[in-house]
Amino acid sequence: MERISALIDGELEDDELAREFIRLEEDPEWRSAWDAYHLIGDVLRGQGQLTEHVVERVSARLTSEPTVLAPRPRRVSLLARRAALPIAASVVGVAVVAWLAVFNDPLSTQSALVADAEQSVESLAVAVEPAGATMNEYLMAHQQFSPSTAMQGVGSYVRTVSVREADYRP
Amino acid sequence: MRNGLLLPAVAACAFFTGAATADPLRQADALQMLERIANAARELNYVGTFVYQHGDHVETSRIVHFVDDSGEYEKLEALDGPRREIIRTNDEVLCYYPDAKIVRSEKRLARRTFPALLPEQISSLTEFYEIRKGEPERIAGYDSHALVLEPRDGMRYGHKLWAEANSGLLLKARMLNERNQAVEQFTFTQLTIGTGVTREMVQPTYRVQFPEWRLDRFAHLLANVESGWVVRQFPAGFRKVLEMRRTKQGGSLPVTHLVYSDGLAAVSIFIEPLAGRTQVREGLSRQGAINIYTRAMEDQVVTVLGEAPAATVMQIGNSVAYRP
Repeated sequence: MERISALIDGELEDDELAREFIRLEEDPEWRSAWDAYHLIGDVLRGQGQLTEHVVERVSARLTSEPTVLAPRPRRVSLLARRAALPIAASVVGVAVVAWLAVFNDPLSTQSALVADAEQSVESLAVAVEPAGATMNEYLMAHQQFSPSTAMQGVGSYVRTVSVREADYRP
Repeated sequence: MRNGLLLPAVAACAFFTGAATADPLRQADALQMLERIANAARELNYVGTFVYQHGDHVETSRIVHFVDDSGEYEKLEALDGPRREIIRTNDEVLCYYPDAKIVRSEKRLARRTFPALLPEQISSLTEFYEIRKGEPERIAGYDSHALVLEPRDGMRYGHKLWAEANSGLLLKARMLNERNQAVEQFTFTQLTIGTGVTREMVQPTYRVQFPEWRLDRFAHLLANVESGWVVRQFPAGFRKVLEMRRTKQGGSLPVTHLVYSDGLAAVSIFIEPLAGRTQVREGLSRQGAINIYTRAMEDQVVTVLGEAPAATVMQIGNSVAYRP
């Protein structure tokens, strides 16, 4: 329980954190402890809707929906409501999908990863793949209206062109 | 009477000389800094290398900007990964994908210059962002002034801008989410301002020949149209900048394009007919700081994208309606 608490509070070092997430994936006991921790938290906070089987549900969702970040508006808003809990499904979501990405992210610190859990839509966004190349047309059409283009010139178009050109071919 | 006039003047002097870095900037001063940045981007000749980061993605590009009496020219070259190049000549932007032999063209519409996108936005900028000076920093060998624009709600990203101390040229730009984490960052690592930039340096690398190359043009047919499409629930502070009709796929598909902005971020809404497509990938995706939200709506596909939080593009996307 101490380890879970440390995990949630962002007190673990990078390598420890990695170990804990792997354990969370592999160890059912550890997982139920994690769920229990949230259940207790929910009760203490007087939440009507309780957090149960967080790991399974998020893993299942991520497995069934590998490419789409937020599949349907209705479901996302449900997820977003649940994200009002300090630690919601997303910490695991990030761990499962974006583990390496976040680890190598020069812009993101370890505590930031844990903090990600506090907001599910955004933190899941960390995990999402770059926009499909079919979006290129729209991205480029949009870019001229972005104030960042006025401040950076075509430098801001790098958002548009960084899509792999192999995908770009229709 | 005299004293009454003098006091505000003294107070104003005190503001300029003694302002601590954490003090909020007055609207006029903040706007002046933004305007200086925009002017520098337009008026200066410069050549440099910058790094663009988002998520775990890091890429390096070279940019050249050249202005003379004949106009404004710009060249952006990706130095990592597949070859990509963007050439801007005044209001035309050409994007070259030499490996796929595709060139994409986009004509820029004449519009008001940032930050004066819309007059009413200037007065509301401080309503939606708290603006203050940040810590000065040394970037790519230049001293810079920093400007921090912190959103007052969750519907927009925060911005941190570092402008070169003498010229105002933007040296570094970072967008931050509500947890103060960077969603993307541009940083110059090497930069030369003013000298040594020539017209030759902004020439395209590739010679486009037909039919080997294909030209893609996402044309706008009509600007300032009344399409009948409206957004019923807007995040506060976003106003319509433009409404236009475009055509896609060789002119057969009409696409409505609406642009909304809060003065610092822009959101585009594209509405196009399903046109026989049976599958639309709905949901959210992202490209750097740009969140993209797609949903099918009867026989139309609505795509909302912009450098704004996912919640913002989703709220806009979910409240798009047709009211002719």
